[in-house]
Amino acid sequence: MTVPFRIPTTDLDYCLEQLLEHKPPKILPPETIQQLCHTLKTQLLSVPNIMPLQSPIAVVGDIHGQYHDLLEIFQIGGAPPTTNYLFLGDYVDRGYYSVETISLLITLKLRFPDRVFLIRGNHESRTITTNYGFYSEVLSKYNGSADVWSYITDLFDYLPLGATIDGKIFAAHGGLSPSCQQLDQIRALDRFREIPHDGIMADLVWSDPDTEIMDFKLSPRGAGYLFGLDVINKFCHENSLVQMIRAHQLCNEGYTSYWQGKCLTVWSAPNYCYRCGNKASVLEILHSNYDSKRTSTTTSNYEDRFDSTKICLRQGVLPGQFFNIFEASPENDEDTLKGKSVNGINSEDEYAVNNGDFFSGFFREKSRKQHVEYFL
Amino acid sequence: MSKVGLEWTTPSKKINAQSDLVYFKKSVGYRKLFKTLTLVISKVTNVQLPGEILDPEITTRKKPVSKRSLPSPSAIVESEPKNKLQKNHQVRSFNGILEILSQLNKLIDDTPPLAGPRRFGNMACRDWHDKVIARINNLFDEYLELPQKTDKEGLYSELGSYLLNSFGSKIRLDYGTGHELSFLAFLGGLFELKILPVDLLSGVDILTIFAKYYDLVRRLIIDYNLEPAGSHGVWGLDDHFHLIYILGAAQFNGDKSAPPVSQVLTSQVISTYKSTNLYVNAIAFIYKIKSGPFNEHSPIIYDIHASVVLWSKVLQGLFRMYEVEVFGKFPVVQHFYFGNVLYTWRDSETNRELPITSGDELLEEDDSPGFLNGYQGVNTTRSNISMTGAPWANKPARAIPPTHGHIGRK
Repeated sequence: MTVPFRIPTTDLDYCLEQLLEHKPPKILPPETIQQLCHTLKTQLLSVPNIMPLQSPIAVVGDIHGQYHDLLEIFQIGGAPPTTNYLFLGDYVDRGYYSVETISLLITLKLRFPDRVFLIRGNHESRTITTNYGFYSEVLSKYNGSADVWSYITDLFDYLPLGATIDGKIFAAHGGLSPSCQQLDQIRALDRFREIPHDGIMADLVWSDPDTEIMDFKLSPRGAGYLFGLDVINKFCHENSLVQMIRAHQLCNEGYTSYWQGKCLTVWSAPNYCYRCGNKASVLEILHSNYDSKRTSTTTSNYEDRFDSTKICLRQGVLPGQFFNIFEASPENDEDTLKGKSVNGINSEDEYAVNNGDFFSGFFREKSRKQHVEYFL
Repeated sequence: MSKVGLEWTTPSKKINAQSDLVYFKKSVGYRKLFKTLTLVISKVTNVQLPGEILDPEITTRKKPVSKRSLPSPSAIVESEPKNKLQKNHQVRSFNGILEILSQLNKLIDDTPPLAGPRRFGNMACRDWHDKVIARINNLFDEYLELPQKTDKEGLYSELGSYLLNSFGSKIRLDYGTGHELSFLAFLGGLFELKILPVDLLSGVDILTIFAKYYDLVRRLIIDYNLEPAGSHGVWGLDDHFHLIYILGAAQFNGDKSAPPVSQVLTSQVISTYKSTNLYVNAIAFIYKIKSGPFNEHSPIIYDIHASVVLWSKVLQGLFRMYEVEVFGKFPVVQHFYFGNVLYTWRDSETNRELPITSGDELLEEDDSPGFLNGYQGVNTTRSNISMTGAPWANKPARAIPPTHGHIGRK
């Protein structure tokens, strides 16, 4: 048996401080990332493909490098370790802060291993990150070196593929696979590899639900499948599940409920790519006691927020569940340069150059960036 | 090459694999594109657009104007007629091209986006494409002056395909630098065939054509929610364009009254130059469609303005970047098709036909189910960029594996 390495708590706290107490966050040095990844890998070796988790837990969908929105999640849902978190993947690509986002999640996982759980999304892959931004971001932030990208994408190979919550809810990034009827088939996979183009492992991170169909259909994404009502009913029945929770698809309202809550999509990147104008959410799961009536003695403050029946009706969730919705922070709703609006809104301008804004300092501090080389 | 007895053909796909890029760089097609690019750059260098050509609405946010703000210069320009064209240019086809672009613009009015928020590109865009396809030959007939004794149909199908491809993908409902390149190819074709004799066109003329083209495309992007083709997220130069920045940087190149490079992202420069310079105009468009800190959503452009001083260096850098990121990228140029007269798949030195990597199964990829956007829009968002597609999506058709009878139809 491998004895997992441990990194001293104080070191992890120092990493958290670098990331959390600076604006913009400080990136961690490559050697630190390497060590964090290595340690987490040794710990993940013994974690099963499907992690058995318990409520209460908050489930988070795609983040895509939107670091400040991740911090917003901790604001509204409580920060670890006070709240348990299950992240459904797609931490990197597209956004500006993929490096900081994944660094924070890795550190949090190491710091609070029993409170923070990470599974793999389709973007936690070498091919996808090369095509959708994370690779370029690493080159840009680490002086043209791809080392950090290698450490992190190697770690991705170790991430579990799914989780169960109270044994009743199945959570994965994408969806179901026509090659898989039993959870045990997932448990038996050798997951320590790059995500393949097809097969169960690919489908888990690529598939989408589709209310128009009953069975499986090819996905327009070119990977994974669309799955319908019969598929999910059958899968839940065979595995004694009540529900599947997944992410993977942008939702204008931050969440989508399919088939009266049989399947939920949670999306956690507001105003995706700075232009989609969508809301985001975190799914809070308090319990999974669906048959017992709520007794007055167990009524807590917390539960008062959840007038269960109303929320179930409005959001299409099961009892004990609640989509906590949030939007992009107000300052992200304007077109800004160094905090000042530029084109269209608040058009009177008192913009002064070189006003000592820390962003400019942030960029100047860095030595030569990859893309700037074109211009030398 | 003699123009008599030209064998026109509908352009077809020749770049099927990464390794074909070597042939592409040797091809007559590439040499011609490159030549057109440098020609256009030299024509527009140190030339500004007259203020009334670009439509200010395209690059200005529609937001309730706050009471505090004074009417912006753009609001004043807005009151002037939008399509004030040079009516009597000596080159009839010049007016003709502008008229064609204006007609295609009107077709958008006739093809309103389907109601309701949609996740993917608006399906009405496919109708718009169909209308353009149906009308394009008539528009050519009406507005272009062709060389004499031309096989009109052949010319239309070869030249026209570059124009049709320059408005984005009808199937995937996206738009990117490959489509922008296709418009350059169309223009180069017009030059070569002397439909637009380039010697008789001024820099303003050429900028005017591009300005009208960009306004049209950006209307398509906004009205039909076109997705950025193959987005690297914030780590690309721009979600949709690259050439527009080259043209705009050339405009400032050698211009003593050009704003300092370091000031371009400020509202002062944006409002002063967005109607006369394509670079600033493109940045104004980013400000319109994106919200949030500029250095986050557009870090590459931000860095250009934080670290480059001279417009000549900006131009040079963008040009080099174009060679790498557009001409050098398989995902982009694989959609550039080759014909028999204009952009040929022949070795530019020996004039021999270049090899074609066998890839029968890949030939029709544009129509295969490997595209990002499905046929049905799903009710979700205001803008797009919605769905990650698999980079290997252009593979031959996949099948659903047997489910051992577990899933039955009702």
